[in-house]
Amino acid sequence: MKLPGRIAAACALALGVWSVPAAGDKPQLSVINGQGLRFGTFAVPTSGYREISPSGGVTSGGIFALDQSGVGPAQFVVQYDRGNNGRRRMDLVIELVFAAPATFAQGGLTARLSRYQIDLQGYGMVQPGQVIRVEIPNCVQRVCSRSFNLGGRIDVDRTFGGGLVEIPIFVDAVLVSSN
Amino acid sequence: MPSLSRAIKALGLAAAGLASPALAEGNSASVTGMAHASVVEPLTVRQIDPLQFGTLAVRQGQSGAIKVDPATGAVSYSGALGNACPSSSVCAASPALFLVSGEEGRTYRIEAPSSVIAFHTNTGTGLPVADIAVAVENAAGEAMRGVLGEMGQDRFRVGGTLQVVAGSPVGTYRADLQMVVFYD
Repeated sequence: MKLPGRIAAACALALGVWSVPAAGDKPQLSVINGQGLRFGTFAVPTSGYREISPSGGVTSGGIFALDQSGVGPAQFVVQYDRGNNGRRRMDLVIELVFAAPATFAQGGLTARLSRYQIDLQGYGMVQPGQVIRVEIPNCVQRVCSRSFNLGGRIDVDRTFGGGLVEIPIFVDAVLVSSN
Repeated sequence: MPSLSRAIKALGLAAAGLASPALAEGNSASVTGMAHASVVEPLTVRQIDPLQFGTLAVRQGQSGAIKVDPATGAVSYSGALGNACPSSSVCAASPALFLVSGEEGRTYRIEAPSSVIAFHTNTGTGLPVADIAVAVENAAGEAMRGVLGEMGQDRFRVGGTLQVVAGSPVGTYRADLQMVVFYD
């Protein structure tokens, strides 16, 4: 079966226009960490804890806080860049998972991070490994995003000395649907 | 056209194979945030020497005062009050000395009462100790604020003025002086 030359060329052109977006970058999911989970500065005689809520509320026990400035929840943004300027409506579903945090041990200090809390609707306390479903419906822009705050609790045991405690927070995100 | 049909099916499978992977490039992401806290050593304060006004004598029916300077340790008397302690004796007047320990380089503040009452150990008669003053070692000139130096330590001295009123009973007078330190 042989198509006339002009029809074949028109089909090829139509297919080409349809398949190549205006700005043809690859779609990209990303998670941005704007602020760390900041527990501030405090003295610990032997052991104590400090807990920061996603809204910035602070509760403490067994510590002496030196100041309340520089204390706050971690801030994350999960965003999807569709890679072009198309206007097709997309309902995005993204799954987030926080890994189990490591224990900090240095000198006379031991610290553990626990009780993750997020301010995404339908969630409060979240466990490491728990799948957190983030829905971004009706996305009609190139980049759609959802921000959220993460709170948590740090427990510190001190036998001597002091220092800066840093514990990484690992977050994985997967786009599970972009219909 | 069986051959075209098979080709279309094959293309369809290939397309499905491209579209279906859950972790296609760009569809997953990871980030590492950080939780941080600055843990400092607690601040402690310990008395090394008490504030001593020494052994005093006052003329019958008269009053006087003794002042102990915290910075220099100098002792001055006024009114009818005088020193009754032999030189180089342990009964000499001297400022209190406190040791503060905490995190090296940090500043701290001191809270002290401006006056207290020293009570006779038997009769309970009171004598006022006024103008209580503090002198720190590592931040001279800043009376109520110190800096923890090497090894995270500082010392401060406390002086004041004891007023002995006429007719005060002979004996030993003692006062509690509550000193509070906290990180600045």
